[in-house]
Amino acid sequence: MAKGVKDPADDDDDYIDIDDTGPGDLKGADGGYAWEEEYKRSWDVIQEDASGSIQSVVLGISDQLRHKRRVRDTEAIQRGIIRHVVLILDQSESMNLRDLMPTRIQAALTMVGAFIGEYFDQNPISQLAVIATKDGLAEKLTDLSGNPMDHLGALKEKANKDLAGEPSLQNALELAMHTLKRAPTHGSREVVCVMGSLTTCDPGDIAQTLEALKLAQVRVSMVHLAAEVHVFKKICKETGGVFYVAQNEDNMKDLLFENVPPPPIVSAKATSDMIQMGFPIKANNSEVPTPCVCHHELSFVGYICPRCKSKVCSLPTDCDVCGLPLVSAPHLARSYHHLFPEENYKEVVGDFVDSSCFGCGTVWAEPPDASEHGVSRYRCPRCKHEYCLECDIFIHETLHNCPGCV
Amino acid sequence: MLLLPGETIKHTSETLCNKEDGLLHFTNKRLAWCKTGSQTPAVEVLHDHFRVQRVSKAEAKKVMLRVTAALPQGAPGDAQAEVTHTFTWRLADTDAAVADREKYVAELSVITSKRSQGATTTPSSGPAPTPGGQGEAAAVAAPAATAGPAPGGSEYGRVKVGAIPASAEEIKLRLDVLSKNAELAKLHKSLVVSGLVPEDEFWSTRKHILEMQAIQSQLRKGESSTWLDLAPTTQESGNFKYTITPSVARRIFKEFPQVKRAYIENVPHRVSEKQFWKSFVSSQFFNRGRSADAAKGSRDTIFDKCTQEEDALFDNTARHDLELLNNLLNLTRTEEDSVETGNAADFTMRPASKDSKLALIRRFNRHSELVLQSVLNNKRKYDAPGPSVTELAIKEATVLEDLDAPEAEKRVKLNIQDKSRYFTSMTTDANDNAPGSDAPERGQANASSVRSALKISFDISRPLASCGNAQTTMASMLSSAHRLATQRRPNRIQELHIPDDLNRAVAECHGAGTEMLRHLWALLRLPPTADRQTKSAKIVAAFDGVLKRINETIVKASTAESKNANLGSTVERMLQPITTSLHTGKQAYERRSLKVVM
Repeated sequence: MAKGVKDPADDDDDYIDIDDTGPGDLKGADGGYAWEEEYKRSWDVIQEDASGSIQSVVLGISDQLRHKRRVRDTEAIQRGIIRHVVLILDQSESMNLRDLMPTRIQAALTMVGAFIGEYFDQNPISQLAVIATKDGLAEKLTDLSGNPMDHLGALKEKANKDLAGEPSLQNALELAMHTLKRAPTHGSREVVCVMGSLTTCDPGDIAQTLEALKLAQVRVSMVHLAAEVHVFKKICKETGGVFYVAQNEDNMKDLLFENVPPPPIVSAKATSDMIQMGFPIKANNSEVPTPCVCHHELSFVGYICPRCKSKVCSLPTDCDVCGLPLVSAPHLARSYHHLFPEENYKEVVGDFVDSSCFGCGTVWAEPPDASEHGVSRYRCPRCKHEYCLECDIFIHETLHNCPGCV
Repeated sequence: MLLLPGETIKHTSETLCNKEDGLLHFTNKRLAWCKTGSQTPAVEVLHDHFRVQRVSKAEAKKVMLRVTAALPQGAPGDAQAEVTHTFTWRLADTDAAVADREKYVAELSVITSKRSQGATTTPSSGPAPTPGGQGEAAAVAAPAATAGPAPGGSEYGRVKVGAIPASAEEIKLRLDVLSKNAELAKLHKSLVVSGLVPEDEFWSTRKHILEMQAIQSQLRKGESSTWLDLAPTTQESGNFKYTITPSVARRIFKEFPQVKRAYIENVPHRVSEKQFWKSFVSSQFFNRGRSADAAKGSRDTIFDKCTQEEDALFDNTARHDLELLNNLLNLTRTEEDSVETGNAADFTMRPASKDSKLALIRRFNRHSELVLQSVLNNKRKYDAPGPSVTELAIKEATVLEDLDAPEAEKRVKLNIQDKSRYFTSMTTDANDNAPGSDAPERGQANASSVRSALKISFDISRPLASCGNAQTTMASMLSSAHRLATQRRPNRIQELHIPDDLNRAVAECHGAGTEMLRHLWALLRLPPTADRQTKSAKIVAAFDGVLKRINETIVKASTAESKNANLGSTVERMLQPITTSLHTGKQAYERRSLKVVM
């Protein structure tokens, strides 16, 4: 039942209350809905400045966009750090359209490649699998693994092949569920889809698949490249994920990257308290090569699993022999950043302390006339140093630590 | 036939062998053939001696089974010591004979699969495929118990992965997986085909790969619900060409049930299929919805009937019971409103004032009906909903979620005992020099000492020789660069001059040891049961074999001729990790068995 809409049965029978004062946040400045206002002419914003160039206006607009991205959630909540994500790619005919340059599939593949890199950067102990769907069937491109090279290689070779037919979301989700069944319960199970087709050609009832997904506690999120489709949105909403429609290439990248930070854990289910992990030491055979257990090839360097003493080539991985997850301390440290997020810096006007940005050292430019604000500065609430917008974004998205506090 | 003690006959058939009549018996110990009237078998093949079976081609006139067995005194696999027997069924009815023969084929293939040698169960590495080789016999025989392919259209629908002995479907599944996965195929070749690890054991730790492949092949393609538009392609001569494949034909039948009826009635006795489709695409029936001009297309006896049928169907207005329709969808409801307010009745809700559009509208409605039916099936029955249910339905339809304020997500707060510890650890680590020197010496000097060595003062007024530690700096930089370069030089492995056979031996020891360790750890991780304990004990006992092999290899290496003088010690060090792992595994097992005993 929705809140905020008055139940008609409560009112007088004679008068039908036409309630125009709906929920507050959806109203625009004048108190009406977005479609009730006069249409905005977005091209009026761009005006030439004194020298005839529009560069400053363009910079201002891009700054504004970045401002909007700045505000993020910094509450300390439980998040699933060990993630098992299945990426579903649409390889149907609708991905051949050219509304995203050069074609939807090319743009999507570039974004997905960037996403994979960023995902393993921010979640080093998590795993990823890739499934592609076309012609009514689904095919697994890579298995759940923690090595980004596997996935990037598979995308380059296989994902560019011919696009055909219609995608099948049900088949892809079933395959994803079977892949995720192998994942241990202490990790979170997620599915991220990139779809371009408005249809899906399924062999059975997708509502049953939805029930199965909810039972298996799999969270499905989607970025759609065309328009909102009721079935897709319903699946995403009911499993606790997010559904977005991309407006252009940049928007698509932003929306896809929303899936990079770990999602909050919604149900306070009984999660495991202790997880066994191994911290291997480096194997130092500088003179003689020894075989590794993952590829059975000779190599000079590697890591020794603490439980079964077999040599693996790279971290993080699961030991091939005894199955112990092997990580190194920096990997865990990188994952922890999401649990201790850096607070949002507040913009300061007047009352300046530093003469240059504490992060990059650029001297603050003086505004041309007194009434305008100069470059906006942001202050860390703990150490009270000031940073420019670039440093602010860098600190929050990549560093996760304030240089002044550390 | 005289039976051996403890022997029971499973099958008996009349067959010819070497042109003599006789009876073929299959028992639990052997396959035996006795001449008619004789009690002792003239031909006998014990189960252990049985090697290969072959069957005659399906279209062959004679139904034959050829069995190759090793002679009792010959060593297994010795080609000269093998003998072949051929049995021919003489029944008049070939089908019955084939069915009879299949019983024997099934039994013999069970024997081969019980023997966990890879060579006979993988048809790819088997002997030259004769008409109906081993693989075909196995594939034909085994699914006699399972009923055909699963409704999903995949042959792996019923396979239970991990059954011992492996069913024929599982064997096919394994081949599939190997063909798709090059790395796994390489591993399989080096371990199983060379005989180090039995096939079943190899797959027992890799069940998940097989299951994934089975599931992937089980996915079926759903029926496409797109609007069927039979568009012609124009050829140079100006003719139109319509392509009608069986799947297109199926969709046409779904869209137009009258066409299906006409097809069944008329093809093939009255008109040929080609003629049928030709007249279909040129008929008025087909072209009615496609162009504005209703008179396009020719008249045709068959399809005119279809047109009349369809019109008759829709003229019958008393089809639906309007009471049962959902009020929100019932278009006739508007009639109620107009009466009360005094407006004239709604005359716009009449389908297609112009006849030309009528066919299209009907087709569209039928298409939508089909799409919905395929999803809903018989889930939503048309029961008359009670008043409260209707209220709920109306409320659901009028409230739009998008217009509500978004609900805040429920989140679980993070309980961290001592948050400050995370932050303090950040600052202390930056200050103290990491105690990396405790760990094995890596030859890297401490960070600050290196930096101090690199301090150079660039005061050019003084001669270079007195500019601080220039020389020592350069020396230290060069030495570390040199060291890194030597570590990364290519062909380092070839420089050790290890002969090929030793390389292979090392790889084999490593491979065998690793597989066994995988099994052992998989068993150790699960809670101990008597069954698992015995299996683990077996594996640990097998370790000794591998360790012996390793020692042999090392001895071979020390005595081998090679440019590398220290070959023995090199190989020993190469095998060091696997030796350590084996010992660790053994210790873990012993610790576990102590715990269980206590």
